[in-house]
Amino acid sequence: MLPQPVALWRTPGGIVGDFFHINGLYDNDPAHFGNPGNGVDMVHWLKVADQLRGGLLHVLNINATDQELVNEIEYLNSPVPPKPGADWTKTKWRFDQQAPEGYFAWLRGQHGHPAPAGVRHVEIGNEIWNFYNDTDNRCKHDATCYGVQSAALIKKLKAKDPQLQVGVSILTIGQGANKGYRAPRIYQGLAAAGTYPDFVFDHAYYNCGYTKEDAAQASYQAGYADVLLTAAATNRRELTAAFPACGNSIGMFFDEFGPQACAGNADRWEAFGYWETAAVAHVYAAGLHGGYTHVSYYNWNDGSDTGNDGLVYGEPGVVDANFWGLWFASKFVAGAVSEVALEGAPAALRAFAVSSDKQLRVLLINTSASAPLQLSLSVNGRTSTAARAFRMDQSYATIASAPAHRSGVPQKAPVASPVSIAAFTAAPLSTTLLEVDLAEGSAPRAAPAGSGCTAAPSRHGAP
Amino acid sequence: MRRTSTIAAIIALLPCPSAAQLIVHADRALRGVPPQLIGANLTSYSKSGNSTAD
Repeated sequence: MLPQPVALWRTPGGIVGDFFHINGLYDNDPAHFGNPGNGVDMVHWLKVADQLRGGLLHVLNINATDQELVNEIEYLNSPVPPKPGADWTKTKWRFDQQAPEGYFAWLRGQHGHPAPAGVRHVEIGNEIWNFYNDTDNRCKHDATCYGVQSAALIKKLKAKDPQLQVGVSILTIGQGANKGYRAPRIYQGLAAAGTYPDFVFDHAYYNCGYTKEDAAQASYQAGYADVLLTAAATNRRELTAAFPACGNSIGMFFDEFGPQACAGNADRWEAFGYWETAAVAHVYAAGLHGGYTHVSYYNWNDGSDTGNDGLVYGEPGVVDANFWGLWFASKFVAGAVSEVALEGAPAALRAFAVSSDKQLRVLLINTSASAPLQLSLSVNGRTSTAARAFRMDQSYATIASAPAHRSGVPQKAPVASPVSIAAFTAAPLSTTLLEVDLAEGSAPRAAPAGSGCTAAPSRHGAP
Repeated sequence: MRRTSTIAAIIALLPCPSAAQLIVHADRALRGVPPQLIGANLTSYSKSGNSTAD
């Protein structure tokens, strides 16, 4: 359904990542480690990723020992040994115990997935800064400790799989949630150990502090992603200060966001209104514009009519308005080579452009809840030949009346309609994607942001 | 007849609401599009194991 498939699926995702063990046990009490899991185990995730044809961005349980996490990487990525031990059984060693080399890869094969999963991205913990969830028994949410611990763990994980990309949990956008949790303190421990993260990841939600579901709130949410631009600049500045050789190429992930409803819990206004489409599409595009490498929508908040969550699983096949934001973002970047410069947007408009050799795409978000925008678009440097527009349907809801169920949200993808780019309108809180065909020529090329450091390839030695 | 013509002439002379002029510089790359930009979370059902699709 998505024009550009999801590249990375985050698992187990969110807070549950800090409870997870490979047998599907979500419990950090060692006294319970002999208990069976709930069936949503590691091989379950591997099969889901195979089914969805995307990679996994896997959260490593911050409360697990380094040994357990090294076992987990072996389970994910090592080949099944040709000659397993004669006495190996599926319960011979527990997930946190030191076992003979290859045992956990063999175990994956016994669980029905003999091929290595090739998971390339893992994150050390979920939100280490988060006292609210209070799930960090390793460092008790202390950034300095986390940096030191991460440095040691990164070396151990890379010794098991040198291709692994390891991310650390930072807090830039919602810094007020834990003022002492400063990224430079994390980086200090990593730099002192002669290492660095392959990427950093931050989370933020756009509802805290608001209690009304009204036009102002809808406008705020549609414009929320503006914060990514300053956050990206802060992150990049701090990374280059801490890691002079690599700071410019360390990846930046923004892999949880959405309407969290701090004051009122999940509800239909935040799941089913078309303004959420604008908000989500804006986050992805602003992430690209700010220099983020990866942006991931958190699907926690779309199950108000079922009590069940899930972009994919809550009500299979029934999508909410947030999903269409992901759809617009996916359509925006599908096949695109580079983001290109755009100027002239009025204050209420957020406008981004990308180009492939044959097509220009322009994503427009009108953050005003009341004023339509009269717009005209011209293309410099290439010749446009035809254009069409994809618009989110806004006829099904009003700010005062969102659908009661997900099925009230449009379930079919927007279809293209011809548009004159010389004169067109963007409705209040609208999401519009212009597709502009280009005459012969090629798109300008540039390196993606955070595409990886090659300055010190040997920095991850054996522990 | 004359009144209609006068009204039409006045309407023609009224200024249109001015359109904001967006300019895309299709030859000016800001950055490459990262191949892994688009992500989503598979979340929330894992602790209770209440997945319905698999």
